[in-house]
Amino acid sequence: MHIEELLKTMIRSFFIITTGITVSMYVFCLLFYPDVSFTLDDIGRILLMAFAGDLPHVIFLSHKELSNKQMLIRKIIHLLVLSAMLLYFASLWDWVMLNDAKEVAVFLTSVWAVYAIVFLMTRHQDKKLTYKINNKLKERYRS
Amino acid sequence: MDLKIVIEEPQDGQEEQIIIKCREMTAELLRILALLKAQDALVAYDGNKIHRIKPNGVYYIEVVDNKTFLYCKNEVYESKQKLYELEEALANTDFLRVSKSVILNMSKIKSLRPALSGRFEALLDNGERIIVSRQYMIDLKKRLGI
Repeated sequence: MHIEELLKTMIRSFFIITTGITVSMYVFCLLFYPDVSFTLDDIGRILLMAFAGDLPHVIFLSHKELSNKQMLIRKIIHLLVLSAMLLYFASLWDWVMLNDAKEVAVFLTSVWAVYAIVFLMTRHQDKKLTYKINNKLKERYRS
Repeated sequence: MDLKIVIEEPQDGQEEQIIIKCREMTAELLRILALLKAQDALVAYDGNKIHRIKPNGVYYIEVVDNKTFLYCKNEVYESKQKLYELEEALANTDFLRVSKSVILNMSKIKSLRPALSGRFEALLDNGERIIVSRQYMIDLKKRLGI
């Protein structure tokens, strides 16, 4: 991924992560702290966390086109770094207690669930697009 | 676009020619013209041997370590031209830039499928797979009228 493409991806991801964190926090608090209220600081932290969550995208930066295997490895590293980064900020702001395994598990599951949902949604959109492109290619070159 | 094709035998002493009668130059007509022009061959090298290769025989063109290579069905040739020069020379043909280092012949794509991280993978007629960057998908969609 080149710098131009990376910046586009990071901007798009910022909004996706912000929405993802908001949804995750809603579900998380609904399960564990249904009476909790959020302050203006918390909103700022959500935005800061989304920005921090965006930074590991630099893992995909490459001058050469990555092979599928290289991309898969970077994808795994990205997920691990992202999880660690989000967990660090969440514990820093007392959103998650690191000594409570159940809280950590639910938090990480939420992160991975958002990651999986974004991946599957993108995949679904791309499949629809490739279906259209394949039909057009067939129409143009093989009819 | 419905085009009437008329083939006439030239009279004695008359040269062979292709005449296009149209009211306006549409994108489709420009493509046909480019295809006719692309009948000119690309100069490629295989060691000390020089070859003239018709563009429609080239599957994709790739830059590896600052060298440009033309990939045909089973053969690989080197070109002395830069990728952007070949891109310009092959503009309005079936060739399209699909990543920073690759120009792909769209007519050789068997199918396209999503790859990891928003990229796409093109399976070619000869079984080779080429990565298509997301940023170049816009051009591919435009070319195909999507």
